[in-house]
Amino acid sequence: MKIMSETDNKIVREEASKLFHTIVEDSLVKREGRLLQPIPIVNINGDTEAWFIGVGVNDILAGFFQLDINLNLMRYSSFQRRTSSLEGCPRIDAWTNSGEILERARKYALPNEQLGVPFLTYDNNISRIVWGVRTLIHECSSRIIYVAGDYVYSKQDT
Amino acid sequence: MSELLRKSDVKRITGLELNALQFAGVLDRGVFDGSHITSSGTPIYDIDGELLFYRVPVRRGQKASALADVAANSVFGAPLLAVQHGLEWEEQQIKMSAEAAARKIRSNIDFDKMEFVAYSYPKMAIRFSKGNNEILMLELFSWTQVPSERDVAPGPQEYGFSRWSLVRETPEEKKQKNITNYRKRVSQWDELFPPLPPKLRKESFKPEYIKYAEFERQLKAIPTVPRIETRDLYYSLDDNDHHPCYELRGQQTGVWCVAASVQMLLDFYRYDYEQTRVAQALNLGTLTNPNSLPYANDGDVVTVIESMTGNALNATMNTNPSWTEFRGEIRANHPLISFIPGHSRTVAGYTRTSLFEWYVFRGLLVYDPWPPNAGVITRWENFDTQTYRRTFTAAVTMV
Repeated sequence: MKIMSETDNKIVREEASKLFHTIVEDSLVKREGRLLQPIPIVNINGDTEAWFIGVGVNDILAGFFQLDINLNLMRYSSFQRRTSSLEGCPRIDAWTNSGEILERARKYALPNEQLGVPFLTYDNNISRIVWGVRTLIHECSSRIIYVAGDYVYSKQDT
Repeated sequence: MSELLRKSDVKRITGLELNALQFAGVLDRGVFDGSHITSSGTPIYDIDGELLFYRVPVRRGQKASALADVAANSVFGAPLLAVQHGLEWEEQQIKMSAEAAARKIRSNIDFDKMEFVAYSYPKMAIRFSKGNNEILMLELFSWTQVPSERDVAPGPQEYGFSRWSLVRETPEEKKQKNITNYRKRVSQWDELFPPLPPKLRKESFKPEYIKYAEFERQLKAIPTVPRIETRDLYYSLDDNDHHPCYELRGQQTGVWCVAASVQMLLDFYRYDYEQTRVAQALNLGTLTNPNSLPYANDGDVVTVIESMTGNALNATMNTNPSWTEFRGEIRANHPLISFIPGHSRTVAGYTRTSLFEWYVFRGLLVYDPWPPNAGVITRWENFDTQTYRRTFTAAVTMV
């Protein structure tokens, strides 16, 4: 089953909801955590390859589920360093608000660089989740600016 | 209609699932051991009217100790959906509160049916109907009116306050797969613990009682040996006097996953190197001009671990990683660096739950340096969904 449409987000969220009760161990997240809207993780061609479902506590991103295209659990990952503590975890907006992500890319971009719409993708491996923003410089050359939390880079940098 | 579970089987199947989870160490024995499922619970319907699941109260003595949601529809692929502690569920009392709330909204409300619905699974509401017509739907406990289906699109991060049908939105293909998985699971329980007529049940095992010792006794009579293994890294092999002992390091550039992984491994052995220093040893450049490690240089990891510890650590690269290796190394209290295509992380624990041949989960505890400057701890990475390219292990050279 290949899930492509936005409406199927609900099914992804439902899968994550089942997993939330069995996989999440931290008592604070179990008690106060909520699932955020699933975001498709797309490859460079725009095909959905996996799903990112954040787990938020108030405005903090405590962790996330990653499901593959067949909705199998790939992993549950937590930003928490200590149990029942959210210290050091990123804000939800830093990882899910496309406006904020675009703004961070804009600060990194050259003054004359035009920016596209952010998309959630990955760098090299599907587990290296990152936002991508396609850009156009002088209408002749383009690149992708990557935004991973507070870290912004482009392939030309590396 | 794709109902999967008969009401008469709800207590038995719920009990078997809960007994298995308690036995596997997933459910807290302090909360569940000695508890009892007294009824088949409350049926919860889809907004389109199909039965979705039962909300089954679990009691310990006179006190409600937990709630189990048990699937009865092909939108779910396994019987047990969720277990919640500390939530009271008094069906009649909830209905009375709902009716009082409804009369505040419409004093002259006229209905002949009240039923629980999952209006946006797992969010629940109570629907008031007259004949086949819905009169009102109120969200559980907030008693806010649930808008009709046409309303508001979801917000940017979460779903808005709207209803949708889980049955309608689950693809047919997935339902078919779910039915197969669900029936397989139930028939496997039936094979192990067949449903018995009341006359024969007096002396036999009663699955609706959640009892660790009794379930263990029952499993002993079954040829398949139940096994649950979980282990994290500790300071030493003696778990009794130490806490788990491993720290996450985020990679400091977009391409320093290997440097961060080596740093984590060296940290475990108390070698306190900056990541920049590890990167320098691996020829990964500087913070302002970083490089990644080419595949051809994988072996450098071994050289660097050994050189940075003055050969106190003996490092090894494995080009064919397996579950047996991960398990063996963690049991020997050794962290592993794990290369997957295009990325590097470390592994500091594993879990394997296998009650029967058909009840197996293998997971790795992964300390992942991505995203940069943060990293995440993955508990658990499903071993059967990942491709493992290389592993690196290290052991202290003994004299």
